[in-house]
Amino acid sequence: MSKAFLSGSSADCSLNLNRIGRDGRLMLRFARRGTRTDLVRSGFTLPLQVLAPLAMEDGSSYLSLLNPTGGILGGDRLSTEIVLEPGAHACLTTPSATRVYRTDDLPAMQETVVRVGEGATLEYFPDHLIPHPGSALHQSLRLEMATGSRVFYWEAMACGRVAREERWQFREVVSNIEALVHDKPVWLSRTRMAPAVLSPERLGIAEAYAYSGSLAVFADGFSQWPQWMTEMQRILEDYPDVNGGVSRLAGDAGLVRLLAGSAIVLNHLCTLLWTASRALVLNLPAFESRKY
Amino acid sequence: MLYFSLWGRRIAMPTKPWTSLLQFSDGLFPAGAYAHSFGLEWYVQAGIVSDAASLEALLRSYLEASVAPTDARTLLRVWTAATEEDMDRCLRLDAMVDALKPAEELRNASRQMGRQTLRTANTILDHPLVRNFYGKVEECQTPGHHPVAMGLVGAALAWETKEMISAYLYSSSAALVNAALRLFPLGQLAGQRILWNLQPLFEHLSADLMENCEEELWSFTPALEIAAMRHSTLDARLFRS
Repeated sequence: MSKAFLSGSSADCSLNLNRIGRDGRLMLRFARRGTRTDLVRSGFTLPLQVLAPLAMEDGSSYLSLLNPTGGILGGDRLSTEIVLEPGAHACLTTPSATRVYRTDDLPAMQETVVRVGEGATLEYFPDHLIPHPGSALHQSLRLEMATGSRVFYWEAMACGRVAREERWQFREVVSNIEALVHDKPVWLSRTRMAPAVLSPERLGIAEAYAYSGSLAVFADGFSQWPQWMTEMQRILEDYPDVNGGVSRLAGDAGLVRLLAGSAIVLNHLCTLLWTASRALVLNLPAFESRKY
Repeated sequence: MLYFSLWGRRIAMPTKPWTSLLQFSDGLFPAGAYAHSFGLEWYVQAGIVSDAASLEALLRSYLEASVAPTDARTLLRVWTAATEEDMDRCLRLDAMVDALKPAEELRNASRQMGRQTLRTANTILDHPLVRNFYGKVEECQTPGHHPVAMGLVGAALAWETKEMISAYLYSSSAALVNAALRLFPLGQLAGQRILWNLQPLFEHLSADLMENCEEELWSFTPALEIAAMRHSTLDARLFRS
């Protein structure tokens, strides 16, 4: 385990006593130290929290992002800032899916800003979102990438608590992703889901699939995009029950978009696609972590 | 002849802007829409779209969750920016549309149609705004997406905004119906029936866009995007997208 400075504190108390929800903040800063990456600065306020980082054999720093309350409540305002200094390599996951709970009032807000320095690598694989009936979430991710940086980003969500046969019963999910390389937008994803207004089960939207996921790979200066696309398509061919497609994005980046009927299959595919992308882009073996 | 001022110049415009809107929205206009199915060809080969009902269902999703909130809203924003003589904003919107289209075939289709629209407009209008932007597209300084091109031409020809949006929604739908006619036995009458059925939706969406013009651009058609991504892997294809 790497030695890193870790700090934490209790939740910020809102001055507005009428407001429901908590303001959670998380700040992480990774720096290259010789052949390894250290978490050189870390601060959080509940309900956001991190476990101690693990130094991996491939030189990366592995960190699990926690929300000990088990989910996000309406009125919560969660803000995360992640900085990778030049040459740093970090891998971030969550221990389980993030639940978004019912709200009669304000939506939950989740804002993440990631700055990836020159030649740095971030692998960011949070588990999927599970929006409960009546829940509302507004989330945003801003990825700022410098020259020669690489980012592997996974996002996924369920249509609800599928085991309870709840499908698309949440109030709304608004999700904005803005990925910039040298300040130029290479991928903007602006999603609005309000099932009561526009049913996601319609043809052309999510149809009968209960889970959706996307793997975005950004690799400034990477030249083997045709091979990457072929490899992603080859993996998808083994899963005829999953509706998946692969495409180049506007810059040195690619996207795999998936619709699946089961979380197990979606997560398994995510691992396969991540591993293959890691091998092609970073020339590194599969990421080994035991989450459970 | 009527005149209006744009980019410091007194411009002569047709007495009826809407007739020029008809010309630029017509299937005869050489934007190249006939070469694209926007993912429909994959749906047809997969056997998911095979009749008028399934085509109309797909078209409604395409319009409500993609064309209206992304392309038509861009069209309106570019029209406003161009009318306010703000070229930088037009360029920013063009870059934004490029990043908002995750499927390469859809991105390329929009670029090709935009370039063709600008090329034709530059030839027949000789307008400084169109000429300036087309020059930047030719020099690869900006991608030149179709809704951006149409918004620029719309500002140059003083199109009425709600009519412009309705015409854009209509021509986007007509392009897909036209593709469907070549992909499976649909029939001209069934195709016209679908376009007729969509008329209230064109009206609703264009009114909504006018009312909520400050809302962000967005889209949510993952299955259509996947269809466009998978289209390039089909063994035999009639269309480029």
